Amino acid sequence: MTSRLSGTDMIAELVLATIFGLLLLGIHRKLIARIQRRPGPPVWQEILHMLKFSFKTTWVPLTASRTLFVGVVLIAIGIWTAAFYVLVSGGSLLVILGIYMLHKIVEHGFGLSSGSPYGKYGGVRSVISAASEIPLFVSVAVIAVYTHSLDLSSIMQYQQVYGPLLFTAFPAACAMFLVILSKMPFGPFSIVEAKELVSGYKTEHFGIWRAGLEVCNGLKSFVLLAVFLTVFIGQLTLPWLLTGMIILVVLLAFSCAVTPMMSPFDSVTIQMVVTGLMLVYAMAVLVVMHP
Amino acid sequence: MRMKKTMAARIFCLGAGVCMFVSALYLAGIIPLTLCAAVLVPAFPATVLALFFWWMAGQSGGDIPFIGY
Repeated sequence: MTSRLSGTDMIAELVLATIFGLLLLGIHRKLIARIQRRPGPPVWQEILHMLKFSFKTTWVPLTASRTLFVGVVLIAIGIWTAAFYVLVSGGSLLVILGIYMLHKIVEHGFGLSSGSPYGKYGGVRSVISAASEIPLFVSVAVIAVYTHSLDLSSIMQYQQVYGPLLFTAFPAACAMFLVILSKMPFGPFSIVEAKELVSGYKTEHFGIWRAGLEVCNGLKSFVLLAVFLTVFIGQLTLPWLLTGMIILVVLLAFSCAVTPMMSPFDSVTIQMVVTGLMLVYAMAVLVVMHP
Repeated sequence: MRMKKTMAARIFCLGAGVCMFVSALYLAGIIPLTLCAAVLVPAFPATVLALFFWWMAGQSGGDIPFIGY
């Protein structure tokens, strides 16, 4: 991933990452359906969704803040484009962590910009579900204790010498898996997309705006899974990277299929309990590594 | 505010052109990856949305976007 990109690759990889991310979301959805003994949509359904929405009637509600309503779609795609380039350049994990947090603010912006009560409640839940990011802080801290760096390139070099962090820092990997789970649709922590909120923060973003959001979701899924594999497995060739992402999606789909969506209170409580456990683990690692 | 098909096409062509241009500059080693990415981060989203506007917009007059309800 950190190899120098050619001129065409800069754009081509971005577009292919988006499409593959959407395909992963389709596989995720299909697997959940099959586990629940439903036929489910075809695996390319999310790609079709993106294309379908781009041909749909598009509007800005009269109750919306026009600038925010349109701008937040551009920002959503922009931040994950930035995350993608941080990933391919082997940049800082802290920047990607910042973009994880920024995405919550963007979701909040989506909800508030429309003026719809469903959107607003979805936006508020996005802020509440930022609790799911806290285990990520502890995961990152543990990685820093092991590798003495937060640069993805340094983390990959560390793993070439000492082996994958998946085995040496397994609890941190579990915590980061939980963070990814909280960002996947139809999961136990997907409180921002609960059916009582219609489509949550994206209820009023329809047509081209929703197609833009689908592009963001594809890119986000790709980056989330690729970062996990980079941080806990190390540098992978493209076929292994894509295979690893599909395996992760299978694990996520099983987790989503067999667990009901939690209430916002339960979701935050579980995230905080995990954070507490991770803090204890981080302290133990710190004591062992730096007695 | 209304957006014509030709305007959407111009924005798309401009955005795609900028993306290709900075990519070429990076390939030639004239600009670093960070500068290339700094241009692509705002240009890519605008290009994507302009593409969507372009292919769904009608041939004449203003189009459906921004009609309100």
